[in-house]
Amino acid sequence: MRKFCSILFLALIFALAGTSGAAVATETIKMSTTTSTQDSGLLDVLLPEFTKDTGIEVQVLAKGTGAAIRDGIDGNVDVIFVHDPEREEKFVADGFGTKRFKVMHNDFVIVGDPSDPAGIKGEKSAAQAFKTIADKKTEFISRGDDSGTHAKEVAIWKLSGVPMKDKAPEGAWYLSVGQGMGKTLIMAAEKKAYALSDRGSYIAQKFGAENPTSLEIIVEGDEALFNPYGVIPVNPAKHPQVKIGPATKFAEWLVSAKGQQVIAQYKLKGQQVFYPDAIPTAK
Amino acid sequence: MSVFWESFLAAMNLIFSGDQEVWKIVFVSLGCTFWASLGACLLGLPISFALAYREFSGKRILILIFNTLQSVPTVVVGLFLYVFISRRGIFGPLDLLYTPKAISLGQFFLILPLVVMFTLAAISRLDRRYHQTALTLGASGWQAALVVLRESRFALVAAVCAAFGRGVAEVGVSMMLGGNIKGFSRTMTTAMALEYDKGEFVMAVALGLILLLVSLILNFSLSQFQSHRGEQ
Amino acid sequence: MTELYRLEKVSQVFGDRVVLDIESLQLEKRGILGLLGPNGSGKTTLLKILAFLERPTQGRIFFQGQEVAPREMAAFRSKAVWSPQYPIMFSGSLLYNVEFPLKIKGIPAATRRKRALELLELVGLTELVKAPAPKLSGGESQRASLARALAAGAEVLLLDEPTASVDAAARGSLTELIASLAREGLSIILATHDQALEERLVQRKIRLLDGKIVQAENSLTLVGELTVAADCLTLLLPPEAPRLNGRLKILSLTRQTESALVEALDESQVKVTVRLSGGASLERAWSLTLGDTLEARVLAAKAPEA
Repeated sequence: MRKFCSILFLALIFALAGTSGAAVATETIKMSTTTSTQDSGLLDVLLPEFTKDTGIEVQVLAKGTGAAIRDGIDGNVDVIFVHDPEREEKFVADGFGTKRFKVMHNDFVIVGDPSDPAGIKGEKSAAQAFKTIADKKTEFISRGDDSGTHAKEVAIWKLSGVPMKDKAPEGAWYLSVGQGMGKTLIMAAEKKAYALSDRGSYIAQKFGAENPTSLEIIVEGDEALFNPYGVIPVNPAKHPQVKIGPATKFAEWLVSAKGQQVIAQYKLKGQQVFYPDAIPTAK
Repeated sequence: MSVFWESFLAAMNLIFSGDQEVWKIVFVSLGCTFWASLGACLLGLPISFALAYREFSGKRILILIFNTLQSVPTVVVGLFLYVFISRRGIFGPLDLLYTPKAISLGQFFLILPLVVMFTLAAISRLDRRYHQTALTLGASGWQAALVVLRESRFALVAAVCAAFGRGVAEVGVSMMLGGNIKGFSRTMTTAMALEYDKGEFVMAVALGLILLLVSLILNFSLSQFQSHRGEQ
Repeated sequence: MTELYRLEKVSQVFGDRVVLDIESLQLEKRGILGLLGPNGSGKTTLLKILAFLERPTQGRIFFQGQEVAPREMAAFRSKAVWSPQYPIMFSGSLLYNVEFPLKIKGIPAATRRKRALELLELVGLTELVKAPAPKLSGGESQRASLARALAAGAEVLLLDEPTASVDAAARGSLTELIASLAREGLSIILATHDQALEERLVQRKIRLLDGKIVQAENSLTLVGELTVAADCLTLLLPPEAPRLNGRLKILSLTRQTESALVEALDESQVKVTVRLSGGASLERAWSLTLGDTLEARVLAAKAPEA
């Protein structure tokens, strides 16, 4: 009897194993994006809407910005959706992408322990806040993973004038951990340190998690903290097998009235996180 | 400690609520590792037989290589294969990257050395005269090999369990070659990594518990074939 | 065709150790041939070569007059079944083991069951049909091994020390069983140390020492060595010598192996004429070996006609 059940169970796995690799019937495109974009939950709402309107399914590969762009350069995906304008422009300039579509922006916030050891609460300038953190040598956790967030962080450090070496401020108070946003925030909370985070990730941990983070937003609103997103179809001239039709449809849908509206209406824990850029008045 | 209790509850909830996503993840994991294990056994068994029963130059080196490959980090395997199956790689046109097939392929290479070495150990430990007795009674090479496998089945099942375990528990290959695409190439381990990354520890551990449960059931099933009852 | 095996220049080398070195050997069908010699003399290797389980490093083997090339060995295996000192029983019942050779031939279940039970009856193990084979006693597993070999269709049984693992009480009936199988027409070659077995069963003998045959069937032993320029010797054999006639191989001739013509002159005298191979010197040291330490005395030595 036992043997029979065992064989049955194994046969079941065998049968189901066959289906796991089954090709998707509808048109499918592969998109690489960042982990923070996926973690924000926007895609869970946005993509189904897109599929409803066009019948095209989008497979999401979420990784760091560098890796996501790399996938576009290598032709492993059909479209990239990241938030690093400088690298995105280069991507298009080098001929790997057809065109950058301005989709939306969210913003970054400087988060830290409510006790605010560096005393920067309410500071208007992000660069100034960073300078103070450096001067006071208060602990700062950096993603250090070549992501969009990291790139933004480095840009602000540059603005602040703090002495740097290899894209990082010098000093033992600066900890580069090579991790995603979620993990970085967890570490910052544990060490009562500061960190730069996209608003979405912060909101998810503050209002969404079972055990909310202890971190609070210390500095926000500075334009330097804005984080613009661009969607770029991969150039078929470089990689002929790219599904350029559906990929472009995707990009165009994102900047269409419908797409922009979905973006504007997306709320994370009751808060708007993304602000449409193609049609700024969309609501 | 309350993390474990919460996770346990979350795991129960996930299993019994029939959450589609969770079941899909479970079957992607099992399916990928199943095919990888099957391939590894199909190729690995003949290799270990050759290593056990034949003499040829380079045998020692081959055994050394397989032994070493048993402890190769999964990320290394993932990277190596990525170079081959990425669009720019030799096998690019096959469109394997970021599919469950790629995960199976990666895990195949991961598991193969394990199958070879464990099976070699099992077969070598068996008195050579079993093979010779089968042959002298008129068995063909294949039939004699089956006799050897049958007589070492206890160790063999252990080998299969170990191989499957290595495959189903790994993250590196699944992540790099599968891409963790929701509903498509997301496995239990990559899902766990994602939840952990998001800070959702309870969810991560819950998935881990489900993974353990699945492994338990599977190993139990496999062990049914290990019994040495005196029947045919 | 009474010849069962013929080995020519067969040798087996493992690394740099010469395990077996046989210039020539001829074995007849039927009856029980004893393979004698101390441990390490090459008995087991010879048995395995005769069972076509091992390929000699060099040499030719003929089975029932047909040459068996290394590639062809597999086809002959079930005809000459090898059984080691502690027979290997596959996990499963006794019946499973005896049915095994039939199963691998593709014989249908009902037929093979019937045949297996027949054979088990023949060897006297009917009550143990369902017993787990690996747990059988020494004597029982020897019998089981015989039944299984017969199921495989063996014409030759190659038994390595069949009584060594059997307790004294069971030895007698096992010996009787082997004898009866020989009477049925099987050729049995057994390697043994057991004196009693030797006396009771063995009809002809081959003795090995350090991989070489020092005594074999159909050969003559000369006392000591004789250096003489002759190609024809007349030898006086002792009364108990078997009748020798016809062609026979001269073994361990110091320089060359040649064939010799043996003519029985009368009951106790044989004339051995050796054909000279071209260019060989007449003077040679004679050394001939015969089955059972029989000593022959040279009566006359005659040089070839010019």
